[in-house]
Amino acid sequence: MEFEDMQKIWNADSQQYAFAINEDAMQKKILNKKIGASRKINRMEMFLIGVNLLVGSFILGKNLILDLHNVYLYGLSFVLYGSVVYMFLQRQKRIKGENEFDRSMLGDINHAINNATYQERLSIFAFIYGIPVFVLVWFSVYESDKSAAFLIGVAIFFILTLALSVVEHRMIHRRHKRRLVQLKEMLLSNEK
Amino acid sequence: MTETKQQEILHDWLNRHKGLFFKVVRAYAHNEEDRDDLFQEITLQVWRSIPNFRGESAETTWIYRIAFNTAIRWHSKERKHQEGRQSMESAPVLEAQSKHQDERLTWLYEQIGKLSEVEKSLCLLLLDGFSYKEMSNIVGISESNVAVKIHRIKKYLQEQSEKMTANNGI
Repeated sequence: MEFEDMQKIWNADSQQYAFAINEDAMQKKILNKKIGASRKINRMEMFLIGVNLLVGSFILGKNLILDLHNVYLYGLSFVLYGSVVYMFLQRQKRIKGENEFDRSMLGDINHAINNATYQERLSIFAFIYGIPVFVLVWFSVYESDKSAAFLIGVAIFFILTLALSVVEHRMIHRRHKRRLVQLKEMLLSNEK
Repeated sequence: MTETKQQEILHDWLNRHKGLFFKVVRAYAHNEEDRDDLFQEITLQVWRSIPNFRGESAETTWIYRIAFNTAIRWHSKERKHQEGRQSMESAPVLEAQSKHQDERLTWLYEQIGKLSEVEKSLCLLLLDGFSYKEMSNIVGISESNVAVKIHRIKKYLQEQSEKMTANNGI
């Protein structure tokens, strides 16, 4: 079969009628998708910013109102406020960059890579910022004369959390970005 | 643009260009549930893109671009049903019409299915008669790169066709 014959088969009217569209089901499902997928990153950012702001304020307020003046708790609220500022700046940068990609397939992949890089960076940040939070929480608990078992429990909890964040970073964010970069390479190279 | 107007345009595009939607869905998704899922995703993305459509390119070029971007991203990210997870609850959106099945077309889709994600897009555009320049604009790579890939695709399809003919003893 020559390529021209394939084109004739391809251009047959039957392609137009290969499927029937159930419009009611389509409306319903698309509406669900719209609600479900809309602004996932946005909500994640707002959630993280809100939680850090709230916890930072709570710790600072408690430290001041109860006259604790615990240096580790001051440090902890400082780290939490710092993370809020960092996330806010990163978010602004992301929003600003949203329209900088052309509307070709390559532009769309570049956009996706940019988003994946952003998520990857957020996950690295979550790990790095988890370390001082861990140290400061641990020392503030230590100063409050809790039992050794409790201190060990807190340490295990934080170590597990940090380990899980490393797994999440490697298994989800890094892998997703690698796949997109491969797609881009495939698009740009002459090799399959 | 109001949501009603956006809905009207989508309805009109779906009526006039549904063959295009079906082609992309068939080329990228290989079972009923995936086709259904990909069709919804493409329709949603096309719907979202309507306010940005300024008529600077043909409607088909615009829809193809959105459909390919969506299909490639969907293919690399989801593939939920191929991984054995069960589909959603309610009725399917797409219902295959068996009376319109053509064996040669099914064979052609099988061959397209074996191509890489990017080559699939180029192959569909080629079969639909798009020029190298249009393909280059849609995909975002140079015309010479398009030409190299198209040459390879044509050669591959012809080889497969010869194999099929030999196997059928014609």
